[in-house]
This record gives sequence, structure tokens and C-alpha cells, in this order.
Amino acid sequence: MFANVNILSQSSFGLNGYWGLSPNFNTPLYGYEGNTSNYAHVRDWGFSFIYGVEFAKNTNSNIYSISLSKTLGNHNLSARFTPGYQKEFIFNTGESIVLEDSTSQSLTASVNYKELFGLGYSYKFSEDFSVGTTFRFFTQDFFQEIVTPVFEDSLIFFLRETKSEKVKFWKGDLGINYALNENLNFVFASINLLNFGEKADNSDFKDLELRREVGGMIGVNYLPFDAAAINFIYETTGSYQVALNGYAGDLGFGMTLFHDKYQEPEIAGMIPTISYKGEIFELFVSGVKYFSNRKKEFGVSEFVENGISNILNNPYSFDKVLLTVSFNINTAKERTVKLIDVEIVKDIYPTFSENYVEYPFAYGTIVNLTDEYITVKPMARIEGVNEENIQSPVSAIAPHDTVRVPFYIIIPESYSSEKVELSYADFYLFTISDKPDDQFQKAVLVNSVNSWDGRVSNLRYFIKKDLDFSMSHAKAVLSSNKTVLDTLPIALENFYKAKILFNEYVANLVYISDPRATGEYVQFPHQTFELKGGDCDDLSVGYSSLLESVGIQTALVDYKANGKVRHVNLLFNTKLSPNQAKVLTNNDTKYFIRESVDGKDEIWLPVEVTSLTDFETAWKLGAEKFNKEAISELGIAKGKVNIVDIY
Amino acid sequence: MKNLLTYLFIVSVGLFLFGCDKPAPTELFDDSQEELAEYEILGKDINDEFYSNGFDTTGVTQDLRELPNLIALSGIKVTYVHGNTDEFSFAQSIFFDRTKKIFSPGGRFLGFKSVIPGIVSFDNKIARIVPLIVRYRENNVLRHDTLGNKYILFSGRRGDMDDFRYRHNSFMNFSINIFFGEQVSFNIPTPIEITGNVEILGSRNQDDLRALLQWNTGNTHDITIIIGARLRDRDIIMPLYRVKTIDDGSLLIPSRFINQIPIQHFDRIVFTFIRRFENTIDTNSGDLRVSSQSIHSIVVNL
Repeated sequence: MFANVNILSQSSFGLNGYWGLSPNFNTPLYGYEGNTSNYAHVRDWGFSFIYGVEFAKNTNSNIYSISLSKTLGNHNLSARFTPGYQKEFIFNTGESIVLEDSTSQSLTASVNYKELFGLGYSYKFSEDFSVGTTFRFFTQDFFQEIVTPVFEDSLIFFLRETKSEKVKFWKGDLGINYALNENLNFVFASINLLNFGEKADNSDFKDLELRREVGGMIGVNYLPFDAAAINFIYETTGSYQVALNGYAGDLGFGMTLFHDKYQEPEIAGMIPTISYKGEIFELFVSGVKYFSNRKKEFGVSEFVENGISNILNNPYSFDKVLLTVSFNINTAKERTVKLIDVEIVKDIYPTFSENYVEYPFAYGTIVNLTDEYITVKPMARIEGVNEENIQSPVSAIAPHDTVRVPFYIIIPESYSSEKVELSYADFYLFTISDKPDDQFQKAVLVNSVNSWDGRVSNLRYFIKKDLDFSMSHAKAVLSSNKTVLDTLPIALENFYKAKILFNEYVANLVYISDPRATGEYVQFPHQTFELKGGDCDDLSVGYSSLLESVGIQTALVDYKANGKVRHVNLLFNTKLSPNQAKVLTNNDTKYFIRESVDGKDEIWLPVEVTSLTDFETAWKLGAEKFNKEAISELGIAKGKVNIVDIY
Repeated sequence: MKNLLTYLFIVSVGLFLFGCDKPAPTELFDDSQEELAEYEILGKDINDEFYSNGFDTTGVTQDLRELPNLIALSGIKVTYVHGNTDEFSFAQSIFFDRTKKIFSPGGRFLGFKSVIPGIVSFDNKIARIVPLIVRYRENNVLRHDTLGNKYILFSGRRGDMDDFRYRHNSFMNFSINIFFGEQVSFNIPTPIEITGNVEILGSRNQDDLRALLQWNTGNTHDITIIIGARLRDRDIIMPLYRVKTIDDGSLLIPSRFINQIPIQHFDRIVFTFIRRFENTIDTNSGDLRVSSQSIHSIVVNL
């Protein structure tokens, strides 16, 4: 009797209409029908339910589906329970029996098709390409009244029985989403690709089973403007949907027209939808309106001849009004910025600590992923150097803008490693919460405390860092010469202090070349004393530190290599005015006049610390070298000689 | 926002609690022109020949207790197990006196007394008057009682007892000259001849013994099929079921109707196809049923 029944499982018809990949709303994507690939915008947890009123002969309400979605990185998992996805038919079997009182009674049958629940998984290979699968579980409940003649002893009577069978099966499909560009994307999906489960054993029910013809569907989503989308989906079974969707701020509008080859007229119905998007929820109010009369009486023969093509959408489906509520619950903070790359612009020389406060050691390239201005707080930390993150200045980034922000670091005073280590730096971007929006790690070379980058200007950090030792030492030396110093005019105090300190300084030192084969190594003053020697930069640093510790202004003189061995010695400020030069020397090549910060001309004396003889010799050698290379050969003017003030 | 969420939560809970109707089922009305079959038990006790009364080749299977006054014309074919077919013509008329009930010695109501109100003719052939005999079993004894008389005309393989021929798809005349009264005469239309075929499918061992019945379609909306079986020990055909179905040419009798027939009691099944014109007229003497039928009985081994 039912040999021609043609019932297919769910295909692309959804209760919220067809929205394609729905760039502005996630709600339509909970429907596996039009979203076989389980594509989702949910960033963390998503929850949705559809409640509807069906205008059958007796209006009834029902929860059609309850869905849950969870995104883990590029993976999305979803599940849905669909208590309202069912369709039941009741009809006469075609058999009747004549009862004892000669009345006839028809035997009835029913079949109830249900989609109970489904599971989905998808993986986003990129923003443009994702693949997913959905599996749905169906049951079919068949009931049929029958009469069986019973021959008991000599008596014959009819026994009225119910024959029933429950058939369960899964169907699975695959889907692919590909965005050609921001305005055009495609959806490819299978229909009834995988089918496994039971089949009806009873021959009377076999022909009533849901048909599971294998097919495919292709969807095209075209967004000519940000505010509008045209969506079309075609199924190889011959059905299609055309939808126009509009977006205005938080509101959305949709109108889907659907054709079903099993229904009349050509456009069987429409699904108008109004939607609203809140901060964490979405509301959809939609209707399913059929263009044919759904309240007429339907005959068994029509059902047998044409069947139904879809549990939700078939010639016997009724008009509906549906409310869909979706929640987007983000327990994980949404990433708003991305740290694309970090460039380390300086290796770490721990002694140059002040330098890192003034100048960034790295720059990060950051992109704002949001539509709003966002304030970013960069932080960095070097493993083995810092225990806490060091904050750099905050930066404001325009929507979707890419900027380069500096990362600063602080070298703790306590850092004292004498080993060069390859460490790594962690870079963080913070926006609102105390958890970083993004982070990046990069290798960084952390030199020892004695490492020097060869730039004379950075020798000052060695001078300053050991100032306590130098002050203690210098004061002790000067105290032992208090008698001499007390008899001198105040104007010559700096000169004689420098002289006394020098003579005492060099008395026990010898010149020792830099012990490192590669790179520069600079001793702190106390190490020079301990080691009783050093090279030019060690000795200059040590002497400069002694003078600075007693208030004598010094400057390092950088004689740049220019094919020769690079050399450093120093100048110190006698605080004498040019008119007072005669008290030191009548040889005007032995001193040099420099203008102080307050505009006064002051006499500076060059000292060649490496002479290691006595002050007069060192002064003489220093003056000769300075006079020759800096003055006569125009070294300062040519940049071959550079004077570096310590402060 | 917080208020809105609270509101949504309450609405959601409300929907869950009160929104759990089941989608309305679709009730389909019976407009099928195929495969309709109405089953009726005829022989309620196979040990009681009472239920076989009237189930001869005439196709009359009605319970004589409820049978109204009757005028019946039958064109009958019987195809035996070996494939031979005999043809018969049969006409009968029975009139009851509804004021007189006849009971068995044991007090069982057997039917109303039949009467002879006049002279009956079919196609101007005067019908013979024969006893209307009722068989039944009481106290385990087979008894034959007479309800009265009836009118018959018969011709067939066993000799032309009467000069009477049933004509298919035609009109035949009935007349009665009521004693001391008027003559009533009218024509009775007859249906197209029915020719059936029985194909037994499946096997009893596999519990799927079915019968595919096929026949030529005719000029009636439905036909009746009587499924009877021959009692092994008594050579009596016992009507079991009456099946009324659309005159569409075929019907599959489900296995439960065939497989259940106990072979220890029965050795043959008789499928009787009946295409019938029937009309019941309300008369002063009670209802008068006028019927004409083409009958084809096919006997098969069980």
C-alpha cells in the first residue's frame, strides 16, 4: 500500500530561514539543515533554543530545538536536542472488520518520524576555509492495528492486535565553507552521505521508512554591501532557497523564499525574520508561511503517492511563528589585539641599565582586531633577568590599525651574572583584563655585567655603577693627603685631588689587555683594583670613577680606530678659568677649554691613564695625543675623536 | 542588561515548562481507491454446520436468521483443484413469515418459517418449490430441519435440471403471481462475469503463507470474496471469512488469514469471488433483497 511513499531526511530548510554563513548573527548557524558544516561564530560557549507555535487545526506550542556550541581554538563542537523535529501521520490501514453487531470498524496506523538530537564538529583552517561534519539521530515509530483470525478448538474469532516497530538510524554529512573574498563565499555540503543504523524488519513498514537518498547542496552567499546579503542554496534533489538579508546596526531582517519539489506552488512558502543582536544574546522572531492551504483534509492516497520530503517542511506542515533566543557566553576573553612580530633592537648589556629605561630594547608590531579604538599596555620580561613583567608606555590603536610599539626593560641592580647567556624574552599585550590578549616569545642575548658593546659612551655605566666603591677609596686616599690639600688654594683643589688620586691609582697597576678574545670586556673599578691592572678602557673607567666620586667632572675621549687600535683616555675638569691656566702651566697645548652647561669656560686636562707612571707624565702624554689627534688633525671636527661626558 | 537577562531566564524556564506540546499529528482521511478490505468472520464454530448453511455454490452466506425475503440470481463457476471448471446457473427466492420463529429441540433459534406466497418465475421459467433445510449440530448430533419451502431453478454440470440459463451483464426477469392477488414482475440487472485467479505465496513453515487473488475488473464498486475451507472429516465447505474489497482486480490476503487456518481440520481452501448487484426494497411484507451475482469459486489445496 505504501510502496510509493517518498520521505527524505532533513535537508537545507531551517526555521530561521537561510542566512548563509550569517556574518552578523550566529543564531541561524545552530541549524544543521542549512549549515551542514557546523560553521560557527561562537568564540566560546553558545546556547540557543527555538520555541514555536504551530497553527494546526488546534494551535500548539513546542520547543523545537535546544542547541549548545563550544569553540576551542579552531575547533567547534556542537550538540542539539530537537524535541520538536517530528511529524506524525495517522490514517486507516485500508482494512476494516465487521463486528458482532454487524458494524464495521476501520483499523488505523500511525507513523511518527523524529529527529531526536545531533552532533556537530568543525575546524577552521583559516578565516576563509573551514570543514565540518554533522551527525543526526532519527527514530521512526510505526504502529499498525491488525486483526488476526484465531482458531481455538473449533471456534474462530478475530484477535485485534497492534503491530509496532521502532527504527533508529544516524545520518552524517560533510560540509565545506570557502570565502573567496569578503563579499562572496560558498558552501558545499552532502545530503545523506553517511547512513547507518537499523532498517525496518516488518515488510509492512519498509516502504514507510524515511528515504535517505544521497545528494548534495551548494550555497552561495553574496554580500554586495555590508548591510545586505543575498543567499542562495540549491539541493540536487531539486529544492532551493533564495534569501535576502539586511543588517542595520544591531537589527537584522531576512526573507527566505523556498521551493520544494514536493510542494505546490513553485514557491512553496516564505520565512520572514526579524532579529536583534545584543551584547551577549540574539533574538530571532521568524515565521513560516505556506502559500497553499494547510488546513484542508488530506487523503491517504496523496500521502502515499507523494509522501513528504522533510520532517519539518512538507505538504502537511503548518504555518508557524518561532522565537529563537541565543546566548554567546564568553568565559574566555575575546582577543582584541594581535602581536604580529617582535624585533629585538638591542642585545642586553646588564650594566647599561639606564640605557634600557631610556631606549626600548624591542619593538612589537600590533594589530587592533576590533572595530573600536583600543588602548594597549605592552609588557615584557626577560627570563633570568626579570621576575616580573615590565610595563612599557600604553598605546592607543585605531580600529584594525597596525602599529609599532616599543618594549622597555629594567635591569635590576642586583643582576650580577658574569656569564653571557642566550635567554628569551616574553612580550605581552594587555587591554582590559589582567590576562594578556596576546603574547610572543623571542630569543635574546643577555651579556655578562662586564660586557660592553664597544661604544665609549656606554662606559659611563661602568663608571657610575661602582661609584660607591670609588668614593670610599678616593676619600681614603684624599684623607691621607689632607695636610697637603689643606694648604692649597681652593682653586687648585680639583687639580691636586686628581693628581693625588692618579698617582695613588697607578702606583700598583699594570696594563693588561682585554682578556676576552671576542667582544669587549670592561672591568668595574673595584675589579681593576683587585686585578691590579687593565686595558685602556678599564683604567680610564677606574680613574674616571675615582674623580667623579669626589665631584670632579670627567669626560672620556674616544679615539676611534680608523684602521688603528681604538683607544680611550680621559679629560677632567679643573674648574679653573682660562685666566687661571698659568697656575698650572704656561704651555697652552696641555690644557683645553670647554664651556660648562652654565656658559663658563673651564680648563680641562687630558690624562693618558695607561702611562701608569705619574700624573705629570700621564698629563703630558694625554695632552700630546689629544692635541695631535683631536686638535691638530681635526679629529673632533671629523668625528674621529669624540668626547663623552660622564654626566 | 541584568534585568533583561533575568527576564529572558524566566521566559526560558517558562517555555521549557509549558511549551512541551507535541506537534499536531496529521490525520489523513481514507480516500484510497485501492487495497480496501473489510474482513468478517463467518464460521464462528467449525463444528457447527449451522454456519455452513447457504454456503453452497450460490454465494449466499447470510445467516438465515437475519436473511430478509430474497430473490437471487447467480451465474456460478467452480474451478477444482485439478483445474477443471464447471458452470452453473441458479435462481432462488425465499419469503419468510416473520411472525413464526422456528427453534431446534434444544431451543436454538434457527430462523423464520419460509412461506410460498404464489408462483415465481425467472425469465418466464416457473421455479420449483423445494424445502429450505437448515443443518446444525446439537448435542453433538448433526440435525437437518426444515424452515419451510423456497423457489429454485438450477442447471449445471450434473444435468440441466431446469431450463434456465443465467446471463451475465444483462437483465433477467422475475415475476410472482401471488395467490389470490396481483402479479408482480420486474427485471433484474446482472453484473459482468467474474473470473478469478489464486496464487498461493510463501510457505506455511515460514509463517508467510499468503494468497494473491486476482480477477477481472467489472462494473461494480466492490466485490466480495468468501474464504472457506473444507473440513477434512465431513466434506463440508465451511465459510471462514468474508472479505469485501474494491473491484480493482487484485488483493493480497495477508499470511495471518491463511497461515492460521488449521490443517488438522481443513484440507482445502475455497476462494469465492462474487461480483454482485444487490438492492433491498422495503415492502409490506418486510425487506426484499434482490441480488444477482457472478460467482467464481476456486478450490486449492491447503
